[in-house]
Amino acid sequence: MELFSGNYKLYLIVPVILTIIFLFVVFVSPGVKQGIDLKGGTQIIIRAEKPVDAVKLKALLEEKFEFNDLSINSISSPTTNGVTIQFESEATLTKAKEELDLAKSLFESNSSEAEIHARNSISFSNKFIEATDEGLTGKALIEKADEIYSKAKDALHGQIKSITQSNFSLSQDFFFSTKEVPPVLGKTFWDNALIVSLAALIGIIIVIFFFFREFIPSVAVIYAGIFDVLTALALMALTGIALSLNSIPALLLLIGYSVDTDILLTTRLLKRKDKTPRQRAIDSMKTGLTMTLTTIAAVSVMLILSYMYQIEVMFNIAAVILFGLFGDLIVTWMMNAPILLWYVERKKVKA
Amino acid sequence: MRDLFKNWKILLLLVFLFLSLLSISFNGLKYGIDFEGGTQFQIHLEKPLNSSEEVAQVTSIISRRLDWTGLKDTKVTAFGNEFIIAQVAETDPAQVERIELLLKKQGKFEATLEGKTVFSGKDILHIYKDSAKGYGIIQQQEGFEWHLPFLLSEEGAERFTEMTFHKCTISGFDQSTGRTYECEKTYFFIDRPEAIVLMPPVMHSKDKDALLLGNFAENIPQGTEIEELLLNAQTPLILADSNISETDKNTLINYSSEFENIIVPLGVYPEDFLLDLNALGFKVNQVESEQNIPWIWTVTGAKEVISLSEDVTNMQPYVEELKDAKKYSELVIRGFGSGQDDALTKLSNLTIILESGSLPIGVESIGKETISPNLGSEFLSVVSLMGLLALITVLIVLFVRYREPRLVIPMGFTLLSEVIIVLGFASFIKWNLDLASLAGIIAAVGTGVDHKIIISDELLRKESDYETSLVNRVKRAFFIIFAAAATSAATMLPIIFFGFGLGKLVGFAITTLAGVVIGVFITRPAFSEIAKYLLQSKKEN
Repeated sequence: MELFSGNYKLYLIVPVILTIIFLFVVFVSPGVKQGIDLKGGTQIIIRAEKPVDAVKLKALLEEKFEFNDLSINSISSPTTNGVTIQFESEATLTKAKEELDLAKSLFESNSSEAEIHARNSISFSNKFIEATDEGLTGKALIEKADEIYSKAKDALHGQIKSITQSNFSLSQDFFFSTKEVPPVLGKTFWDNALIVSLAALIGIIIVIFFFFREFIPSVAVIYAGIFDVLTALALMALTGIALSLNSIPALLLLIGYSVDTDILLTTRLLKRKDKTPRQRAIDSMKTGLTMTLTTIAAVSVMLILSYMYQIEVMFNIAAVILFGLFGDLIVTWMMNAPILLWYVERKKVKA
Repeated sequence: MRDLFKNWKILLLLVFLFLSLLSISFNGLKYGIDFEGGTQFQIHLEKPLNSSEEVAQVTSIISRRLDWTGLKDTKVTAFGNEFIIAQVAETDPAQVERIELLLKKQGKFEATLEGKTVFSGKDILHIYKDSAKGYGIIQQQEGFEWHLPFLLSEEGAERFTEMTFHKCTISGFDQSTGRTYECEKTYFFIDRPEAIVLMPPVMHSKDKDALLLGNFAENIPQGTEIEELLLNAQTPLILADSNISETDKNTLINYSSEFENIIVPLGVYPEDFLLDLNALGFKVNQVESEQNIPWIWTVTGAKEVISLSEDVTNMQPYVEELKDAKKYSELVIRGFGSGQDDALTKLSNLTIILESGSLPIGVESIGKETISPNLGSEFLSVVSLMGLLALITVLIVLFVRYREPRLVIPMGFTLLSEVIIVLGFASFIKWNLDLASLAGIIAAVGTGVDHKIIISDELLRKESDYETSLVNRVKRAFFIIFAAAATSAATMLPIIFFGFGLGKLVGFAITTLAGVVIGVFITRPAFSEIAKYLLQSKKEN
């Protein structure tokens, strides 16, 4: 193995170029999508016996409703077929909600104006269900409008399900899951997730500096963690996996996984004095590659099974980890190893 | 081999393994809606709550509110001071929507006497929650007495005085206290339904007996009569087996102008019978019956039966004419608890009822997720299969790399122990396992494999490489392991401390962290001992 002989510093070019590309992909174009748990919206997953034609279903749904950001993905595997329907909002329903919010906020100051808005809200909701204001006035009317809006929302979900069911002849008790996140809640989750990620980053920096107490190696380990997350984000952007409450844990997890190999490498190069540093690097690579390989093997099993059975949560987690592990292979052995070797050899020359 | 079992690190592993299996077999594993099916509501409050007491109060109000609807297996947990997560087994969209409305709206409280409303939620101006006004528990000789004082509006107090006037009769004479009285009872309802109740005669007589017997936990006093309950609930009752007689049909038709809804027990009547009711113009609401609680008590929304007392009825002191009656606007409800805790629970439950289950802080928004039970149970079996296959795959990779069963077998054993101990921990803290927390376990096991590879590679390095004892090599491996574990902990702890509302993330973080801690302190030390022993014995052979 002559991996780290010669001008190993040239390896650094690869992670540097990739960093630039990844940054572009993540932050400029196409960018990472936010999942509905973070921006609000509705997701309906339906399991079917036969493959569902996503294009046809999309046309059917758009003919009846006015969706904002509707995406339909149909999945078929040897074991199951199904379809994931996701949208941010529906135009008429949004109007009903806006009128309802207006009614609520105006109620204290101008109750007659509020009543007009509440009635408007009800008439928008009427697109989905039949309901009247029952001659109510004042607060009761607003409560009624709220109730009708909720019902309209669920009626929309029901209609989506029944359109899918009748056009693709699904059985009566088909498997389904629905998820609905109000935009305000999504925003709160997003803010929370940002705080948590920031706190985690600070925590990692403290831990790494505490264990290694040398500037360049510590920075290299921390950068490796960041590069892994960046790789995962870039590949998520390219494959259309959204940033969500499922993929965020996967990203955090990734840091734990990837830092393992970096810590191994750093410890062996800095703290051990046997053989030459280059040989120690190659030894570490043997151990490190086994580690990454076992993880890749386990995650691939997760990926394949969750695809076959359409367990979206697990599929996203597995895909994100897998992406990150590829990044880790690059950053550990093409960036971290050369930097550390250079650092150790230079120290030796100085001494 | 015997030496190995004397090693405390291995004994520690075995002890934890045993305790975990014990915990799993006694407590069982609890699954979230991902696996059981059901609906999870994420309730975001308008403003953060100020204290842990407030959090507990809001949680218990929501929990009560769900219980009142006859829902079973509801779980309500607070995340931080701004989020409440409520989990119910219901997946039918119409029912889920009903629950969502219920969580948003406050309930309607009514106290009735002889079938007429004496006062309702809007008559209650204030509930005095300070001990100066008598709120709280007093220890008496016979047990713990609780007092709940509240203030009625002018109009409410007037109606109360008028309706309760002389509603007691003298029942006897007591040496120490003077006369004793037998007074009429008021019935407390939350969201009393405007509906007809239809049930089979068998069930009616069962409920009748159960009501007479009383139910302490449900606040049903002994000797409650079904006729009186129905009179107070103002719900007409029709008894019918699986076919409706002509007379019943006519009665129903008469009612149809007044009532829109009809309540029937779930799963008792055949489908076409229910369709007949629909044809008569009724919306049918099927309500499940719970064991030990009379069904009729649940469906009428009855919550409490409270006796009037001689003073408020103007019997003691005796007032001859209604026009001279003393008007009581400040009323006190009293009751006994078998113990202090019991009295406290009774008091707080009744307070929630009088407050109509309304939250001290409004609900900003509700998110919800429903998973059908059939999908959930499939998920569970697939995930189990996934775990098993992942473990086997990892072991195959390890075998290819090391070609040393002496190493791979203890690796497999300790990995499996790790999974069992994390599951044991989850069952011990009664954590609801969902997809994310199982992903956390897989994650922890994943780092476990990595660390065992580090230990093995240290141990297997050729003697000539560097003169150092096996003990030192293990030490070196553990430096790496500790550093790596500390990094994982640093990523997970912020989620546990600041990840409020990120329910799924918290589950993931808890299982990952538990796995990491268990790995570092229990399974990995044990593995290094086993590996050391096996490798040494190999050398000796």
